[in-house]
Order: sequence, then structure tokens, then C-alpha cells
Amino acid sequence: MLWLNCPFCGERPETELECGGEWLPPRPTVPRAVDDRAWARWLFMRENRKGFHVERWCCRYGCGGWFLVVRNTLTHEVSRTAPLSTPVDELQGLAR
Amino acid sequence: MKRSLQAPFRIPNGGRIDRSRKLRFQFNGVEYVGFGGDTIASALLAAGVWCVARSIRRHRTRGIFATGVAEPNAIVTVRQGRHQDPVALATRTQLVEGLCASSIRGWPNLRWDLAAALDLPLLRHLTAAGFYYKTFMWPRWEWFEPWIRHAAGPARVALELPEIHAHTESAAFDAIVIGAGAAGIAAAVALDAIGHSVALIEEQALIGGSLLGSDEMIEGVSGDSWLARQQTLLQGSERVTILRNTLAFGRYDNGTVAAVEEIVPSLGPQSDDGGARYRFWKLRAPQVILATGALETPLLFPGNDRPGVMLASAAHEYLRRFAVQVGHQPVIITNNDSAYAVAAAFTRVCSVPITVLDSRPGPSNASRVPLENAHVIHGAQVVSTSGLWSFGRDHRSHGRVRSVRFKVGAIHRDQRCDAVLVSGGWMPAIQLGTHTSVASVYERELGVFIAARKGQDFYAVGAAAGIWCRSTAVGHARAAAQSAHPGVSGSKTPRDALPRQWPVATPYPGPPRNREAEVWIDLQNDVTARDLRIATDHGLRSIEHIKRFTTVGMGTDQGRTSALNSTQFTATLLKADPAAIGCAKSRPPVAPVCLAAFAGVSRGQLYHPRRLLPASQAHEKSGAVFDDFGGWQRPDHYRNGSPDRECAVTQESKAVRHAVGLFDGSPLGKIEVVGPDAAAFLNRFYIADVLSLPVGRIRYSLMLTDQGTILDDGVITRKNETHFLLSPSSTQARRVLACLESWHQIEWPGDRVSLTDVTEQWAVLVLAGPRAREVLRRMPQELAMYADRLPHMAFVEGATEDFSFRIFRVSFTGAVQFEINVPARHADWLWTHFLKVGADAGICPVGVEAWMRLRVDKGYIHIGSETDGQTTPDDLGFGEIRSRKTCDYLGRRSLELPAMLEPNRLQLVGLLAEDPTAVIPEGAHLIEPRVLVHEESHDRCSGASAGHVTSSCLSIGAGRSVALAMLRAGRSRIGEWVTAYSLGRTWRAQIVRPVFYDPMGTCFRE
Repeated sequence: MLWLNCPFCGERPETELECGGEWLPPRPTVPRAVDDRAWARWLFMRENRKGFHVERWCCRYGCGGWFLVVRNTLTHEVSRTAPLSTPVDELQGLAR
Repeated sequence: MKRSLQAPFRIPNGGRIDRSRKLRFQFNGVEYVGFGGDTIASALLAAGVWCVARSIRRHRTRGIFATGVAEPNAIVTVRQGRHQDPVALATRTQLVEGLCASSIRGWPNLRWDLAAALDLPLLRHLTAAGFYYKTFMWPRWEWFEPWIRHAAGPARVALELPEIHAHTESAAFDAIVIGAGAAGIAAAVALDAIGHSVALIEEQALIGGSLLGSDEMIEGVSGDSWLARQQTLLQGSERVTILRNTLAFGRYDNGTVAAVEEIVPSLGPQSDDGGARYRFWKLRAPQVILATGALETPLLFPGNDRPGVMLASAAHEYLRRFAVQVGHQPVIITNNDSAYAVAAAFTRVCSVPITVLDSRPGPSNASRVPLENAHVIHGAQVVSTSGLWSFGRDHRSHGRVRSVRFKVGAIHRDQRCDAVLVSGGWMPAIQLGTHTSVASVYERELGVFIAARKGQDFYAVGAAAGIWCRSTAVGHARAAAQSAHPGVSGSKTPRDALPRQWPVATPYPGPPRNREAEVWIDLQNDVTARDLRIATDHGLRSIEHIKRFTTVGMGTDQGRTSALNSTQFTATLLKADPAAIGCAKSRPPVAPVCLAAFAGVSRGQLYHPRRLLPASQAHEKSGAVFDDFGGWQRPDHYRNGSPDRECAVTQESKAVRHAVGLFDGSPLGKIEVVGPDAAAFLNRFYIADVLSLPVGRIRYSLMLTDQGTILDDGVITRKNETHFLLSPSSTQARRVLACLESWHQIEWPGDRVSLTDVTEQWAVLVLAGPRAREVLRRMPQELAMYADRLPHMAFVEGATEDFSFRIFRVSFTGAVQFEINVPARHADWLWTHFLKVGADAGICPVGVEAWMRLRVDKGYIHIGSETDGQTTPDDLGFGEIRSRKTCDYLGRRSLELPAMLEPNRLQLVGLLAEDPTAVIPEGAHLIEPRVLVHEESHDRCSGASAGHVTSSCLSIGAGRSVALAMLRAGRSRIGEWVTAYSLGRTWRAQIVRPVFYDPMGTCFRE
């Protein structure tokens, strides 16, 4: 079972949390300005990387806050958790 | 009943059994006797019962082959008073007085099994590898299905016996040691010495592992005295928890171990009080130490599956631990040194003559030690075995091995015997190591696989890590325990520095190709060498594919005795290196675990928390019949003097259409959205414009996912400029709140808004019907004044002397409707009061069923009935409303994708059956008349479905049966006729607009 360090509540087991999947770039501010292909890519396409990637988790039965997790999809090793406000570039640098 | 109270194979003294406690038990209807400390298997062996099972595919006779969880054959159904275990391992189940075991296959009986015909030379190919997959191809799976299902299930659950109960317990330690053999005990003692709390998990009733059945010295003393000393240390410590009879069956991430402890009823069936039989442990520790030991590997020769063929180490354990001598004339077949200790034990303890057939051409270190009474033949390869044929009904020695034919060079010889003890080398027990996706690594020098340790929170010690000598293993376990630091991954174990004394096996000569169908690799799944050849001939190369194709290594033993042989034989077939083939991963659970143990107390009433309405007691007084609706216990209907449900529902619907109904809508979601940006925030979600909603007004709208499909419908109420109330559907309230929250936190954290769920704080009582006003007027003045003043789709809040209230004037039923919200604690009083003051207006409590039917009259959608994960607002006819909003909202962009604009999508329509009294079942498919084909005499319907019925009922408002349906291009087909099909029946129905009552909405607006 995964244990993740919620930035607000501390170490919590997986059963108290909810996985929100891979981190996505922000939603296009004017979706109508985006063509169909690019829009579908944002909606549906995920990188699903083998190794470390950044994903979102919600402390569902704790504070309710979302946060970022750098997790290895192969070994389940979690190298870092961080609040949503953390620049993702920094975490992705860690992930690569 | 037949009795067989002799134990011809029990030796008169020795063993860790309590000879003062005689236990009677039954196997297949015959009474036997065993001693305290016996397992079913040891007692049966002592009584000379060889044949205990039939194999799964070819129904060959099978006997006890191993000890403990490694056993592939001896699965029995056990009853013990009112307890049952349909698939118990005879080698693990402890004997208790009155236990009743029976074999699980064999019809009409174990001796005469008709299905044994599958073993005939011509028929055995019917169930060869891959036969199962081929039944899908030709001619029809349905013809095979009943037979395969019947044959595949290992046992039956006796439903007449009481349910099995279990507790669940969680615990955290500094370390978990799995396996209480010498290495495990040493590790636990060492961890305790440095102040760590330890859970020591042992699958058997006694700790000691292989020490219990061995004569070897350990650290200069005898096994017994070493064990006694360590036990004193363990028992003296508060930090050590020893879990006996506990099977650690799964290892998961971050040091999580799942184990199930069997609570053995000590006093036999009399003590059976329905108490718990299992304790399910969820254990966690920063470090997990695997001291699971090693398992002997069988040898591959024709006829290696007969009853009487057994692992040499198992025979040794039966001899030392249970004082059972398996056979009066045993033969040992080996390719390594470890079997010589077994030979020595047999000649010394039982003084029987023993023959050792060693495949190695010349003497080795062990075989040079002269053994009295033992005859060692080198360079011997077994070519076949023959079995006994017993007449009559007695199965006990049917099929038991009678002689072994072997060859030395070109000379063939026969050796009579009654037991064949095989030793094909050793394989570390890595099952728990390979959970959590850890691959195993081939140790070329030892010829075995060990679990890799790469950045993991566990490590293997002792024989599980490939260290054979007990004293070395113990030292290794101690050093590993002391050097391990919690949290430090992959801490170094000093294994590499250790001397290798592993009894390295010399490869056994491969079986002749024409005999491969008689060489068993996996006894439990009846997989032979020929099956593996079939798999590789089909082009399968990966051991994982071969596992799935042949079922080798599947089943309850998860390849314990077959893993190494299957890899090595596959390597031979493919002329590849075993390291490249790899070892198939075993999966949890590593041995059968009763499902009741997983369920624990989460069953029946405790399966799911039940949410009760605040006015639950008042409903009961009104005669409510409750049912579960999305976790809420809600009145389905009220008895109210009606003879049945249908009458009650009709009466309730009539009240709403002609007088007034009172409905409890408390589960309706209630979310308060407050903040300067509340309007702008909500405007991002709903297809209706929220900014233009005036204060005190209500608007109905849909909320979409960003993929453009409908998430929920509900009303939005503006309390003031910066305060909104959302009413999502009862079942969707949590999802909607979670969705709003996640978008707020992730995408729009700048919006100054806060969201609060107040669903449970407010009760909602709904007055609906033409006389609803009348009832409201009789309430306290503060409430009554709104009976005539509040227009449709308006909101007001206020307070009486006793309570505050909120009134929403909306309509779900098509009638005039007041939704009166009061703090939950006043719901009971208000319900009773409404019924009292409304009595002469004909008020009638209305349950969920009538309520849902009333909305069908109006064609109002219900999330989950009319919608699924693909429904868009345009599909339901909200296209025009949607297009009025010009700014962006969730899902909008997706609705412009070509697939969403397809004219042939499912669209909401109404259906009127030709027969106005016929209610088309919900879920019925709509089929074009021309594609409806009746195939032969079957009522089998083929042809494409053009849609399905989503809601259907007898409508009071329309005075006939009505239905809602989702139909391809439905809106363009109004007026046409379709055929609805369900379970062999058909109905003709006309497609109409989805509104059956008061299409102009005059009733609720008045």
C-alpha cells in the first residue's frame, strides 16, 4: 500500500486518498481557439511514462486538498510530494 | 461406518505429537485415528492412505506429495461440526476430534472415477495444453461451457452450514519476519536485541521450520536445544509478537504484508459457537524480512505423479515430526546430496532397507559416507513406474507406486517399492519476494532463482536467499537484521561473502520424447512435459505466456513445486538459458485464503454504512417500506392499507395528480457556494447562464464533464449576489462537490469562492399536487404567507418561532410543488404536522417509486436512467438552451467535436406501446422490425439494437402505459413505430415526444 505525505496532513495511507491521474498542463483558457486535434489531445492523451512522473492526488478523507506526487510508475517509489502551487517544471526535472 | 484404527506406518516413538491425545476423524466415510499435533495428511499417511485425490484434467490418482503450503495434490473438503473449509490443504489442516474430510474429485467415488477415462491414451489429448482456448474457436463455446465449468471447480461450498466469520486487525511494527525457521527466529531475536518491535509470522502451529524435522547440528548444539534457547529469548520479550498458524499470503508496497491467522477451535466441534475462524492481519513495517526457506524440487521421469511419490524432504519431515514412516520399502531418487540425509534418517530410525538411485555417474561427498542397510546405485535414470490396481471400493492404495524401472547405462532393472522419495535440488521460496513486481534473478552457480532486491523495502535471509548451511544462514539473518536501517532501500546483506554450500543439483537426464505425456511438471494443474512442448510448438516463448497457456504454476500452490522445473524444461525445449527464460511470477495469495477472511465484518448489515433519513421514525409510523437508494434508506412506498406495492404506488401517484402528496427529499444534495466570484465560478460549470440569474430565483441546468457528457442535473438558486445554493441529484451530490472542488483547486484557484456540503444539515419535505397550497396555508403564519406569494422557480427563506426554513418552488413531478427545507432535527415534527393539517385535503405520503414515475409523465430525466457516460445535453434535447449561452463552460468545446454532432446519436424520445396496459420493461432494446430474426426455435434475437427503453411505467397523468427511451436519431423519427425486445418478448410502440402529461406546464405554473 502506498503511503503519501499530504502537504497539509502528513503521511496518509492510500485508502484515505484518491488518485487523480497524471498531471496535465493547464486547461486552455480559450478552448474555442484550440483546434479539434489539440483539444482532444489535452482531453484524452496521457504520457503514461515508465519511470518517474508527476501525478495528482487528493487527500479525500483528510483535508480534501489536492497535491502533486512524483512517483515511479514501475517501482511505486515516491520521491516527493508537493502542494499544487509548486512549479511542475521543478518536479518534472526531478522526475526525469 | 467403516473403521480403520490401525496406523501401520506410525513408528512407536519419537515425533512432536501428543500420543496421549487420540483424535478420531473421517476421510471419505472411513474412520481413522490420529494424535494431537497431527495434520490430516500425517494421520492419513500413518494409516496407509495413499490415494487421496484425483487430478484436475486426467483424473489420475494422487497422493500426499509435500508438507505444509507446498502441497499440490491433497486438497480436501473439511467439515468440523458446523465449520467448513471447502478447499483445505490436508498438509496444513490440524487434526481435531470429529473432523470430517473428503476428497474433492472422483465420481461416483475416489476409487472408481468415471472421468479417469480422460487418462486413456487416446482421450488424454482432449485436455492437453491450450484445449480450453480451442473450445472458443470451434464449434461453439456454449457446448463445452457446462462441462468445463463443472470440471474446473475444485469443491462445493455447503450452503446449509453457517457462514464463516473472521476478524480484521491492523498492526504496525518496526520489522516483519515471515517464516519462523532458524533464520527467521535468529532475525527476530537480533531485531529484538536492538530494540525493534517484531512480528514473527509462522504458517504452521509450531515455530522452528526445518529444525523440527532435522538431525543437523546448529551453531554447535542440537536443533532442539537451539530452538529452546531462542524460544525463551522470544517469549521473554514484549517487543516480539509471534503469529502462529498464520499465513503471510501477500506482500505489497511500502512494507505492507497481508496475513490470515487460523483460529483453531481447541475443543473440537463442541466449542463451535459461531465465533470467528480467521483473523485477517494487515501488517506494516519499514522492513520486511523473508525467511521463507527453500523447497525441494521434484524430478522429471515418466510416472512421477503416482501416489507414494513424495518429496524426500517431506518424507523426512513426516518421519521426524509426525513419527510417520512413509513406506516400508522406500526408494530415493536424487540428483544431489541433500537426499542422503533422508536416507540416513530412514535407515537409522526405521531400520528399513533403502535404495538410492542417484543419477550422478560417480560417488559424491555425501554418497561416499557408508550407510547401513542402504544400497546406492549411481548413474541410474528412472524410465517408468508402475502402480497397484486395487479391486473393490477401497481407494486407499489404489494407484500407489509398486515398482520403479530404471536404467544404468543400457541395463534396465526393476526395483519393488512402496514409496518413491524424490529430490531434484532446492529452490528458495521466493513467492512473497516476487510480489510487488519484483523480478527474480537466476543464480547460475546454484541453478536457482532468488528474489531480486532492488530499491525495495524487503530482503531475504537464510535459505530464501540461497544460503544453505543452517549456522551460516542464522549468522546471515542476524547480520542482516542488525545492519538494516528502516527506510534505507536495498541495504547490503553480506550474502556475497558467504560460503556456498547449496546442494547443487546435477541436471537430471531429460525424459524420452515419446513419454513426455507421462512426465508431470505441475501436479496441481496436471501439466506434463508434453504440454510445455505444445506451448513452445505453438510459438510461445515467454514463461508468462506459457504459464497462461498451459496453466503451469497457477492454482493454489502458485507453482511452488513446479516453477524451477517448468523454467528448466522450457529452457531445454527452446535451447535457451534458464536466466533468459526467467521464473513465472507467483501472485497473491500464495495459498488458498477463505473469502470470509477478506470480508471480515464487512458483510450483511455492516457491509455498507446505512444512511437514515432524519424523519425515519415518522416514516415508519406512516407505514413506509424502506429500500436502499444510493446508500440512503428511503421509503419506496407506504403500505397505507394497500394490498400490494402496485396499488400503493398508484394511490400515491393519484394523490399528487388530484390532491396533495408529501415526499421526503432529504437526500437531495445541498451545496452552498459563497464568495465574491461565486457567480463567475458557477458559470464555468452549468450550461445555463448563471450570471443573469436574479436574486431569489431558481434555474434548472445541466453540469457536464469536460468531455461534454452529462455529469448531473439540478437547480441553482441565487440567495444573494454572492451566495448560491446548488441542488445536485441525491446520488451525485458527493461527486458534484468533488468535481467543483478539484476544478477550483487545480484550474481556478484564483476564484474567491468557498464550497460547503450541507446535505445532511437540512431535511427536505416536499408538498406536491393541486392542493399543496391549501396544506401550506395551514402552517404557522411565517410559512403560510408564501403559499400564494411564491411564484414557480422562486426561492425564499425565513424562520418561524421554532425553526428556520427555506422554500424552493420547483417541480419534479409536473404538479405545484413546494420543497420545504428545515434543519434536520425538525423533520420528524414537520412530517407529522403536515400529515395532520393536510388530512382533509387528502394528503398522502409518497415514496420514491411513485415520485420517479411521476417525473416520467413529464419526460424529466433522471441521471443514471436516461443518461450514461456518453449522453450529451443535445441528446436529451437541451441543444437550444445550451446554444443560448455564449461564453465557455465545461464540456462546451467537446460538444463541437464531430463525434458529438453525429445525427445518428441516441436521442431521448417517448414511447407509447400499442397496448396501453402493457408496460415495456426498462432495458428493453429497440429493434427495427426488419432486423428482428427468430433463429430456429430459439427465441434468440439477432440484429442491431437501435436504442433502449430507459424508464417505463403506468402513468396516472396519461392514463396509460408510457416509456422514455434513447433511440438512434430518435427526434427525427417521431410518429414512426418500433419494436421493443426483452427476454424473448416483443412489444410494438409508437415514437412520440417525451412528454405525456400537461405538455404546456400549466399545472405547476398556475
